[in-house]
Amino acid sequence: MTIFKYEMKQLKSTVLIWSFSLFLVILSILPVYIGMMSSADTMVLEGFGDNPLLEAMGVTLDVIATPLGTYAFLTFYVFLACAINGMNMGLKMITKEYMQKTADFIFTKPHSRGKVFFSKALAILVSALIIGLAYSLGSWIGMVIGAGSDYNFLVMTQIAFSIVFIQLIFAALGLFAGIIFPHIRAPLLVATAVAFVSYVIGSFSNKMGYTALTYLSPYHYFTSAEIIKTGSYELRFLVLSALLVFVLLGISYYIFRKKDIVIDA
Amino acid sequence: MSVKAIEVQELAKYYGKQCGIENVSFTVEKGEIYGFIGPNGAGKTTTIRTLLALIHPTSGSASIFGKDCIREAETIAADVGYLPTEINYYENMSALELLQYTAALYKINAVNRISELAGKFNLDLKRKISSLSYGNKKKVGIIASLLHQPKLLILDEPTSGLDPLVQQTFIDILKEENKKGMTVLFSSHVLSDVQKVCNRVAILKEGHVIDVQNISELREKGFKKVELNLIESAPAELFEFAGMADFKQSNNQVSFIFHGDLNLIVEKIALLKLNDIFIEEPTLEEIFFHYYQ
Repeated sequence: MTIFKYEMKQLKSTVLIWSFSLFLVILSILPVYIGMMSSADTMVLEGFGDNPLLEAMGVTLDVIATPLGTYAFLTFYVFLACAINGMNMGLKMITKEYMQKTADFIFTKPHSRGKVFFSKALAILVSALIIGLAYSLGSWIGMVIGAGSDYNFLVMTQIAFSIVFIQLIFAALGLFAGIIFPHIRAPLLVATAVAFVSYVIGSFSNKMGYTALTYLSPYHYFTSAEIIKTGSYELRFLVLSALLVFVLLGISYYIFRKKDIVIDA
Repeated sequence: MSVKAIEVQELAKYYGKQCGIENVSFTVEKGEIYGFIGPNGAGKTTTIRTLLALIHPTSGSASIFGKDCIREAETIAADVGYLPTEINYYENMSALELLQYTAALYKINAVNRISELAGKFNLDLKRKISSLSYGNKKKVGIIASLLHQPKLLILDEPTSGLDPLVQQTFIDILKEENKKGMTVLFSSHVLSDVQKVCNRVAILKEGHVIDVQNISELREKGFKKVELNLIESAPAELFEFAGMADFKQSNNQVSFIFHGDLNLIVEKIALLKLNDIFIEEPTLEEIFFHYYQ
């Protein structure tokens, strides 16, 4: 717990900034967009129809005109930000020990590498949950202001909580990348690049109809259109997400246990 | 047979094809202060990092208090303090926070120990790590390594960056803790430091332990540094015999380090006409240098 507590302390400002930002952004924008979309005429909606993001999301115009559709549309942008944050958290968790040259300090204490690794992973999980909760709270208040009771709370919560899964998948990827390349000097840059590439792959695959490629883009594991239509996550993608996180963590842990700690001079 | 503090057997570590250490074997008895000397690149740090399970050996084995260094690294770490060559800590922490975190990692309450050691080193605990000089960071490192009163303290170039007064304080603390039973592995290329505190010393060269000696034996073994001021120059061949090292001749000045039967050298000198003669004990640095010829 000592390492977990320390890591939480280290992540405190990041989590607070992300939580407050997402809370305030969705709270302030959602009612405005819901108001705009519900009162929009056909021309405005058709204008939205040109937005390539809708195609990437698999959302149709009639869905986006609803409060939940509007919310889903906005959340898709948040996905990208959360992917960057998740990947950055994961990468930094490992690379900071090498870049600050503190690896010798932490890895010579009476805590196995497994304990260190999973304490760090747990800190990321809790951080992602806190950010997810803040976003859900902001979403709920925004939805009440914008749509009153004219929405499905469970569906909204599921869409909101997608950002937790997105963060976790990218964080697991970040941890894995951090263990393979522990001397990355600019984790945020790498995180942004990976998140964008994955985003572009997803958009491209959806537009071109290459469904196999969709699996390379975790954004599409939580398509809001499907959640709105069925009222739940797509089971295959939920299982795939969990599998991805566990496999990445498992491989990372395996490599991490055996890896030499080499600090660059 | 009593359990050794450290037991290393034919330890080897290769980085790809490059040899870090090879066939390194030595044992450190409990309660001993054991020196580890060699120039940069001799393999001292590689050996230490293997003992601490920071790197994995290619072959061979190493154990601390009878426990395998790799498999039982977590258990061993509770009894081991480590001071690395380069001191790097979390820059945003104060010295006190860092030491408290260290104590928490060892699951101990070290409030008194922190203030006691900080007092001895005259260290301001409120200052941020980022604002500390290298010497003060080293003090934090020393305190962090001694915090949990380890049974074994592993020091890698511990005195670099410390002024002579602090070095003396540190050596006094080492001797004090050693009297209480703490074993020390003291790695350094500052041989005068090793000379001050160690009982035995392993000499490393190019990844191999080339000798293990008692410090007193090493000094008493007959190493002599001889400087001759001659009236008439002597033929260099006169000094061509076993045991000679670092031979220098310039005009009528001759100097060398000798290791062997002193009567032999006295016989040779008796053949010469001298202005002056100096025979002294070479420093450990000079003896050490002799090994690397």
